[in-house]
Formats: sequence, structure tokens, C-alpha cells
Amino acid sequence: MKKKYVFLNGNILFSVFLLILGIIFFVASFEINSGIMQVDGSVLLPRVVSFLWLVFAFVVLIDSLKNANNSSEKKGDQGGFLLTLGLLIFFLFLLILIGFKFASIAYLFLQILVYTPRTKRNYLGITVVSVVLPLIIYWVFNSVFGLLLPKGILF
Amino acid sequence: MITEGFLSILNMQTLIVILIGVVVGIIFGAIPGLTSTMGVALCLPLTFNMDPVTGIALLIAIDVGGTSGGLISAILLKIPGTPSSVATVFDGGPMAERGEGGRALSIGIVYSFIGTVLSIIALIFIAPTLARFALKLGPYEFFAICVFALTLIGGLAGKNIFKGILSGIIGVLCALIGIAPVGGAKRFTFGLEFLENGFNILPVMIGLFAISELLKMGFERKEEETITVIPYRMHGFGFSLREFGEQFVNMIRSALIGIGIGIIPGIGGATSNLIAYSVSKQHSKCPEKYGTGYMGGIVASETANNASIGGSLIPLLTLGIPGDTVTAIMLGGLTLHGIIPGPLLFRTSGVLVYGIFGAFIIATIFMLVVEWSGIKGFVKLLSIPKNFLMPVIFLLCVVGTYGLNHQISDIFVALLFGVFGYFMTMFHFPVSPLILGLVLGSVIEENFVRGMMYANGKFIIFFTSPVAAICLSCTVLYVLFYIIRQLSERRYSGRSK
Repeated sequence: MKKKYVFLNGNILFSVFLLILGIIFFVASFEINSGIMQVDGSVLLPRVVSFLWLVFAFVVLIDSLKNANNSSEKKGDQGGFLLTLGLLIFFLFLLILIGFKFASIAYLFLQILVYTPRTKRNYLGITVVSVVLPLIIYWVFNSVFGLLLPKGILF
Repeated sequence: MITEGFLSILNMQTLIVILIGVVVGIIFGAIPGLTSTMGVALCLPLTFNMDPVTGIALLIAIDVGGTSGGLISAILLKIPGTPSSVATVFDGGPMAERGEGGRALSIGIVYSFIGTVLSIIALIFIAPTLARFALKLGPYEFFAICVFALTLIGGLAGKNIFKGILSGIIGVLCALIGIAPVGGAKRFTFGLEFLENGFNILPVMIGLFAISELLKMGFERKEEETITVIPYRMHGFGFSLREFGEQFVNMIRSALIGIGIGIIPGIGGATSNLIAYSVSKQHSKCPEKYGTGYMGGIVASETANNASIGGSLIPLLTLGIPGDTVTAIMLGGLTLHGIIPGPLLFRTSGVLVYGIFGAFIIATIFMLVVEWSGIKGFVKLLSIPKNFLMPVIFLLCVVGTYGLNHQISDIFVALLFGVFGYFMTMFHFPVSPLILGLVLGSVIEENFVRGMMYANGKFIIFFTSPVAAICLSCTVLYVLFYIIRQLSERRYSGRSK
């Protein structure tokens, strides 16, 4: 008999995650002080909404468990997803450290590499695009529109 | 006031902004993976330095261009540029394959224009009447309407009503995070300073639409991706006067479907094009022709999706409840300019309202002219590889998000919602109820708090209002009806096994 590792089903895991979040928010709703004046709605509504979150998250979890054998997960490249997520987090840190201009150049170069199949990588083209476009974007929004962009704490 | 409103947009700056908006919208609509919602979210920060009419005119122009632009890739690539153009593929693609791509494009552009014009007429006549009625509504009614609207969205936006409603609830709770507007209580901040101001709609939108798309691209990256554009040649309008006459009833019916669906909060062009196509096929004398490159299929889809634009503006301007995700962003834009949409808008900012109507008309005319004359340029854009385009779009999103408050925490929030939105989409949780919940959350809270004050803390008093009682009862009945239907479907499938 084939064992079904139901708990590894992504749908169920996500439903459990939402249920846990619901519990956290519901418990936190009891710690809300009414503030400088007693207002019935501003404390009650968060409690009601977080309770409804809990209820519906539970219903969705039960529904997901019942349909665990029928659902099929989309197949794809987990590595591509993780690399993209890693690059986005890396970009955020670079943004704080070295500012928009240089963080964008690094991010754009690496992200295009991740997306482009090995057989189609034109490193010169990717480098030119990765350097020129962020500089254009920086110039247009900073100098033309007068928008402030992160400068970084190292420079 | 009407003349003043229309004249307020007839200046060089506003007209240029509308033109740019239409072009940007068509580009976002034409390229698969980008949507008019993304375009509107991206351009929202640019409106901060504009006057309210010009700012909203830009956003409407992008929506008009984007909704129509989806037909270009739907016909020439057989891939819908936006969810509003899914049904256009069914007949536009086959028509292009047999060498009539130019004819399909012409039909699509003309009927997009007609659909938008009909929705403008509906907007101009229905909105003021509805606003006068809405003035009689109070906090009990607004609270109940918003709750019903969210439930409806949750049920209609996806296949599973529980996932849809949960998505809406998550959005409402996100709206409650931060310092309470009345009383000053800190809610769900967990000691984190950046949560004290709550979540701004822009980083959430950027996260849910742009960043989740980036993550999706990483997950779906393929070894080989070639884009083949079907050759085409444009000749005139693409149809004769006789064919126009034959499709007249189809056109009117599809426009009414688009306007009606646009008015219902939460659903818009993405649904109306499919419903209009299906209804058109059912009522046609030759249903077997649908799907083979039949003009009627393109007429239904493109008239309905563009008609939804005007329809979705009706609840936004009259009740302050967005009709779809684009109008939800517009609501955010109006609020940032200090304008609160709702029944009083016609009295306090009548010039603005009629200015918006005027901008809508101008954007529609520009859409027809620009799409017609610039079709070659837009088609060339389809060849830009997405692996270059999407990361660049992300950088533009970062600029827009940072430009809001100059806080890195906003980019962090966008990233957070990007990851959350990615998993929501993967596991079939609809995203639009979350956005509408976030936007309506403050409206729900304001009316709930005010209502509870009037009712001396007794919620049962809400039911003394007939409108509120009907809406709240419909909410409960709607959910119960779905549960009963699900149980009976499962019982039936169990018996047949």
C-alpha cells in the first residue's frame, strides 16, 4: 500500500501556516489597549476579524486535508524560485549598504543570469544592459523627477 | 460645474499625461505577464506631485490602454496580454492564423473603443443618481454593504469561497495593523516601529503583483522560450457596415454585461470578457463558428472588458467602494490627495468628478488613435525577452515604492507581500479579495466604530436598518448556499463512485 505523505502537501502546509498566523493575531487582539479613549469598535473589530481568520483558516485546512489526494502540485524549478528569492533579499541588503545605483547593477546582472538559459547567455549584452539601464533609471528619477533614492550607508 | 470639470482637463499638461498614460497602458497590456494593474501601481507615485484630476486621469488612461492592449498579444501570440483578453484568444488567434490578423486587430481596437464609450455613457448617467441615493445611507448601511461586497468578491474571485473569504479577511486585518485612527490604540505592531503606520497600499500592490511575478518566473524558468508573432496586415476597420449591423445586438449585450460586472465590487474585465463570450455564443445563430475565428467572439470579449472600466468607476465614485483592483489603487491615490470618494464627492468635488469623466473620454479617443497608428511599434515590444524586462520593471517598482515615504521598510513590506502573494497564487488563494480587504478595511472600521457609537455598543441595532439587514443576511445566506452546494456535490460524486 502506497504511503501518502499528506503533511508534505504544499496546500496543507500553507493552510497550517495561515492557521498559526490566525492564532497569533487572535491572541494578540487581547493585548490591545483601547488607547486614550474608550471606543467600542476599535478594540472589538480586530478581535472579531482575527477570530474570523482563525475560523476560515481552520475550514480551509480541513478542506485541504479532504482534497489532499485529489490535488496536484504545479511542477517547476524550485532552484530558480529560491535563487530569485535570495537575490531579492540580497538586493535589499545591498540597497541599505551601497545605495540604489550599485545595488541595481549587481541585482540586474545576477537576476538576468538566473532567468536566462545557459545556452542563450550573452554575457557582454547582459553586462551592458545591467550597467546602462540602472544608471538611466537613476538619472531619470533622481535628476529629472527629483525623486530621492537610497544612497547607502557605506558611501 | 459640468463645463468646469470638462474644461479642467483641457490643458496641455493633462492631455500629454493622458497620452503617456494610454501608451504606457497599452505596453503593459500587450506584454504577457504585465498587467494594467501593475502599470497603475507603478505610476501611482508619479501622481503625488500632480493635481488630483491629472493624477487620476493618468491612472484611468493606463487602465483604458492596458485593458485594450491585451488584445494585441491575444491575437498575434495567442497569449492573452491581460486576464481581460483571455476570450479574445479563442477567435482572435484562429483569425490571425488564417491570415486575417490585421482584421482581428482592427475589430478588437474598434470594439474596445465602443465598449469604453458605452460605459462612459452609463457612468455619466448612473453615477449621479446612485450618489443621490447613497447620501441617504449611514454607517450601518456602509458597513453592511462593504462586508457583503467582500464576501461576494471572495466567492466570485476564485473557485473556493473559503479561500476567497479568508483572503479578504487577511486584507481587512492588514488594514487594522498600526495605530487605531480613533482612540490611538496600537494594534498588531508586535513592538515593530515600521508597523505603527500600517501597510500602505502601494508596497502591498507591488509585492502582490510585481514581486510575486518575479518569483513565479524563477519557478517557471524554461530552457527554451521562443516568441513567435503571427504576421498581419491592417486594412481599414476590418469589417463592413453589414457585419456591424449583424453584431449590433451582441455589442450592446456585451457592453451591458461588462458594465454590470464592473459595478459589482471585486470582479472586472477579467471575468466580464469570458461571461460575455459565453453568453454571445449561447445566443448566436451560429454557435459552431465560435472558436474558429469568428468576428462575434472578438466583439463580445473586447466590448465587455472595456465596458467594465466605466462600470467599476461607478461604485468607486458613488459609494467609495472600488469595483476592481485598479479602482482600489485609484482609491488609494485619491485618499493620498486628501479626496474621499463617496456620495458626497459629487457635492464637494463636482469639478473633480466631471474632470474624471472628461479624462476618461479623452483617454478613450487617444486609445483608438494610438493603438491604431502605433500597432507596429507595440508589436515590436512583444519581442522583448521577459528575462530582461521583468527585473527592470522590478527596479522601477523599487523606485516607486521608495518614493512614497523614503523608507526602506516599504521595500521590505513589498518583498514580504511578494513572497506571501506567490504562495497564495500557487495554492489557489485569490489575491484580489486581499487587496480589496486592505482598501475597504479602513472604511469598514470607520463605519463599524461610528455605528457602534450610535448604537451604544449594541451590534443588533445595525439590523434595524433595512439595507444593512438585507446585506448582512445576504452575506450569511451566500456562504450557507455555497456550503450546501459543496456538500451536495460531494454526496453526488460519492454516490457515482
